[in-house]
Amino acid sequence: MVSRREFLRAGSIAGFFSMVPGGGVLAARNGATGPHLDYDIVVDTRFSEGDEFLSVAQKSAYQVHGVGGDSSALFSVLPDTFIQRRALIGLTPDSTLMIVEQLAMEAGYELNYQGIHGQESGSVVSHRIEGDSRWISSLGAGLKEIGDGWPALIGEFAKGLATRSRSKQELNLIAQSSTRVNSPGRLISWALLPELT
Amino acid sequence: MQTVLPEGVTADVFKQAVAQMREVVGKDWVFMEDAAKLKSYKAAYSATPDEDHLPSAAVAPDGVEQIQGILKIANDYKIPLWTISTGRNFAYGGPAPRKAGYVMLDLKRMNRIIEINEELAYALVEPGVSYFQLYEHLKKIGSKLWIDPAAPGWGGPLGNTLDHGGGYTPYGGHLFMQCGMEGILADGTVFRTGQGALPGSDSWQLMKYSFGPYVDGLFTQSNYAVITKMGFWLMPEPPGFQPFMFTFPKTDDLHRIVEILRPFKLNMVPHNGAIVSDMIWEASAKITRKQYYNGKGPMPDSVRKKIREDLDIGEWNLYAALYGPPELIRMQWEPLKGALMSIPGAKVYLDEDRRGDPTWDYRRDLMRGIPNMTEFGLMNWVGGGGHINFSPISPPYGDHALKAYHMIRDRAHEYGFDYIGEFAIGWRELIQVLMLMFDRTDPGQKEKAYDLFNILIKDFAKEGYGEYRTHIDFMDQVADTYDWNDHALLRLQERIKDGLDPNGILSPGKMGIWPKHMRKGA
Repeated sequence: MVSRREFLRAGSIAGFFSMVPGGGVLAARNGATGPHLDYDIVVDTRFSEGDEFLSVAQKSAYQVHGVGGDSSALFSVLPDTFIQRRALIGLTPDSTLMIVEQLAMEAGYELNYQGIHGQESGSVVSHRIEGDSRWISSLGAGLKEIGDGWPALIGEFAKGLATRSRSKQELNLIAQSSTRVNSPGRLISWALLPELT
Repeated sequence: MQTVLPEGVTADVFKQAVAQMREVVGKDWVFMEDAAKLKSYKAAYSATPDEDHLPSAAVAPDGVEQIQGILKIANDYKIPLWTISTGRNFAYGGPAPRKAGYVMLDLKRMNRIIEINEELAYALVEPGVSYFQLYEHLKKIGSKLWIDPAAPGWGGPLGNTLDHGGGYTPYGGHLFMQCGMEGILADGTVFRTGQGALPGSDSWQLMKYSFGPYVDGLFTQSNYAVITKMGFWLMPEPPGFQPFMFTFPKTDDLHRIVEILRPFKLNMVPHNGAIVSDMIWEASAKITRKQYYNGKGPMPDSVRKKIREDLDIGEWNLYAALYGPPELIRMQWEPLKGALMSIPGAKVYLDEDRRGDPTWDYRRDLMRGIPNMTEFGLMNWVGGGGHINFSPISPPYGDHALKAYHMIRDRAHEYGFDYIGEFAIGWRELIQVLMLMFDRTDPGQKEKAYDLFNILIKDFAKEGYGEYRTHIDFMDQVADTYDWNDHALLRLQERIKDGLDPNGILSPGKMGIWPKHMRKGA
């Protein structure tokens, strides 16, 4: 049976990716000086949550892709991630995930984890997280506990997010968190992993 | 395990057909696993369940002969195919087939730029070519030609043109700028239109209307053939380019904006389509709803006012540009500016005034043919990704514009949605586009969005306003509104369908055109 990976790698989508612009992407490559790690980070650098997430998550990332309002800069860098079958871990608004997920699905990836983080009125943040039942409760408990530090906590979990979920579980919780000045009010943390072939 | 099959086809027969398709295109280019594995073809942001539009398999041919082979198999086994080029226009359903079980005929692999003619300013491309790809190619070869991308730019010129899409430069009427195509009928016959039908002609991409009936339009928004090549004109880089923006403070200003622009547009000023976007469309590249309002239902006026002030935008925001020699631009700019500034509270901005503002930057780039993805920021307004476009046409009069605006806005508010829309003012038409945004993870919002869309179709048809294209979920409903003389137009379209595709294998149901055996009451 032909896998989507083979379908993709043989060139169907690579042709599309190969000629799209790459300007504007922040790319910090850890793998250049050490062993290749197994996930890339995609983060929206316009928001302080992104910076907080990145400061922790990037420590063990292979590569970091910083984006703003125009995600087209990712088009030239994602093919390498897909061909190398690295995971993608992100903290972004919905729009970036929608674009990356569509391209990733065509490359044979699936959404392994998703968290929706919404700033509510009264210094409360809501977290709706869905991921591996082996660790989702730990993440949930941590988010409940840590308040403002939730982006960094998700960054700490990055390696776990890049581990294939066996059975998924969804948790909804709220926690105290002060409103950040430039926060978009809603961000998505996510992990896209290559499907098993 | 195969979880979805084409209607009326058994699993064994389907397996046999797919095996034959593999022989035609090679095993690497047919994909058939369970339905979940085909999820990249789903209508990811629609108001209906994913299951309604899941394909049974996908096949990706690399050329005309392979497509002919697939068509033969589809005819032999009565397998419905759903053709896509890049399949990126999610506001109208993306790549998803009209019904579950169709086989995707995915033409992304056919992504060759066959010809760029610098002197005569045209391109000939295959279906899988994207706007980004074409843009980069032109840069690479040092071309001075501009493309006219859709927003966002991950779609492609062939698919967008076939779907009557538009852009933002003076070449924004894509079908108007299309010249010559090659297609394959359901029986495998390959045809070329216009001068392409004359062996040895060098004029295929030069003359739209040639000898005999003009047939190119028949193959747009239709299911009569698989289009494999398309020519279209490219805009030579002009000696001058002046994009501009006007803001207007009141919703009722729309009336005067349209009245002022109509005579200018009839005289081709501004040179591209003028876009008048509402406050939220404008704001969404920079902010989200939650940053200003956490309540349910449409935002109160006091919040809208605050957003307008903070972002220095209007209730309506007009974008357009002038192109050509600087002296000519100056001559046209002064009267246009004078007329629009006569609206109380109007403000005008040029590039130097707003450069660095993400909304301005992406609009300016589109107006000079640079593709980008910034407009996807609209998806962050409420979050959750659901979006469908409602796109009615009306005459370019202020009365019509305001009436059509109020009709949509009031219904949207009644159903608990913000109005997020824009008007495109063309030569003689006015197209309003509602970006109906909803949280797709909220079943209640999905249901309301679906109901709202259906009622808008009826409301607008009653007033004589029809849609120029629509989402796959609403094709029958919209087709049904074009019912003059007992649906004579649809019956004509069906007769053409029956003649060209008697087995009904090509995109059944596209734009409400069903093959005989799938029609109501069949």
